[in-house]
Amino acid sequence: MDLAIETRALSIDYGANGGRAGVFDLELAVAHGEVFGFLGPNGAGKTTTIRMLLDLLRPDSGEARVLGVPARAGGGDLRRRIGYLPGDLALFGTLSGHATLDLFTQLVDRPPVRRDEALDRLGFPRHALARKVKSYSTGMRQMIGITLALQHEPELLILDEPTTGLDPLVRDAFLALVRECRVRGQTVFLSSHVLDEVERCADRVGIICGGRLHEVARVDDLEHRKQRVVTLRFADGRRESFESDELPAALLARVTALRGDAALVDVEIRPLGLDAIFRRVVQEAAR
Amino acid sequence: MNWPLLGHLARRYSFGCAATALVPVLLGVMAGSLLPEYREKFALFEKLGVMRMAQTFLRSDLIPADSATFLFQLPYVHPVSMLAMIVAMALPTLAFPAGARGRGTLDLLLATRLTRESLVTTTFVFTLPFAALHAVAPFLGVWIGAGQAGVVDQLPWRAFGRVSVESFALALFFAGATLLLSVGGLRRMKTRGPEAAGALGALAVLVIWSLLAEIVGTLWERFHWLKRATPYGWFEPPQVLAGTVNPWFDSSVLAGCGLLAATLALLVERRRATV
Repeated sequence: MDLAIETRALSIDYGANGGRAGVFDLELAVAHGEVFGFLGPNGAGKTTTIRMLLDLLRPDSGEARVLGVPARAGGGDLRRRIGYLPGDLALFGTLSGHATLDLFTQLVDRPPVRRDEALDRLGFPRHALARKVKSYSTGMRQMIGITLALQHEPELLILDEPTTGLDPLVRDAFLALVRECRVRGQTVFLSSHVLDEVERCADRVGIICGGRLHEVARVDDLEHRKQRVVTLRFADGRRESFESDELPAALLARVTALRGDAALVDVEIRPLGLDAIFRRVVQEAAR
Repeated sequence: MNWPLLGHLARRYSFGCAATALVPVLLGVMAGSLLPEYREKFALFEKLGVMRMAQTFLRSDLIPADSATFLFQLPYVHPVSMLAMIVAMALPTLAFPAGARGRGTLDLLLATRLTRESLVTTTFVFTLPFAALHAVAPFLGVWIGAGQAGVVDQLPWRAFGRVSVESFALALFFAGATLLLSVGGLRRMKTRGPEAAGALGALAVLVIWSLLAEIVGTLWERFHWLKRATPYGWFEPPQVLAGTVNPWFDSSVLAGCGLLAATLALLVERRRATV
């Protein structure tokens, strides 16, 4: 298979005082043109993995190949083919938005063919580009960060918690851009702890926990594991709440049984989030 | 070398680095305006002994204390002038990579075509014109001051030129040393390098040690050897002006140490496990 990202037994241990922390024996394979969701709770090793892929952090052992080239040996020529959005995005506060985009265009040394489109689609106010970045809101800074990653139309996008600070509308626009990247043949490696947004754009997901990759699965296959919190509100003021991973038909039957003769005023079904899936994945891994 | 980074450094730090060069120029102008009165009241100063400390440091045993040459050492050796030179060298070298690491922009920069090696090289190259400026500025200050006092023909210009070469070498030393401190020195290669505050702290220790050793080595003869353990021990304007030392040797030592430090910074940054 033609792989955009491939790691073999990639490991780094930076645990202090005998404790273990880092990433261990990571075996990852992301195909060209794929949107890969890299899921994990805080401290799971997502950012560490990404930093190793970009040679910002060097592993103790194992190998990482990016776009067919060893991450370390690839150097600047490799990294200009990558668009990167760090999780804790920091920009030069004294530069304007425009100057920031220009600086990174020069540093990457590729024309910003998608800059205007990305800014427009994300709804970034053009007049604000003349202002200094330090005057931007968190969301605006994140939009600039996303544009930095996208503007030179890289072959591979590595996005670490890309929707941090974005409002729902901008988040939708961003996810649409990611889906279009797949259509354009770009590979997207998207790290997140928000299952919902990964589901909306990823082909496959990898779940990392405690520095170990516990599972790689197609998004469709995760559907049956999705935990939900179901809250029923009855006309008599009674509320019932339960967790469920049942498929719609079974869930409906359970709601009907709970309801009995009481009049149902409202049903709220909320995804429980990644934690529940993690608990299950980790428990399964421990067995 | 990375031209976009060099351009960014130029836009961001040129003004600040260049502004520091005004200090030695102004000190030269000040020396020029003080010279007539200084000469006029020199006998009184001698009698009162108010110049004793200055005469020790500016080596009145080598250069007559009532001469123009004696007073025009100020743009080169005044502590504020020294500090201005260190600031000019430290502004860009502390900003990249230590400052960028602290601000969190280093990851983003190094995820582009910019490599760790070119980051270090470009930052060092950026300091070179300002090192040269800090060699020219005191010379310019002396020239303006001497013109103002009407003593242009009384000064050993070639010797002042040699002192400027030593100034350039001293600036190179600080550029290299600060860059090495910014990269993180030779220790803890597995961990992240320092942020700007950490590197600045280390630079402060280096500067304070150098000044203390210079003072102790000058005031007490038996500690004279201490001076050679600091950069200021190799920067000796009075001796150069008096022609008692070989300025090319001292300059070579200073510049060599600076280049060595910059090379070490490059190697450390290349080998560091994490930026």
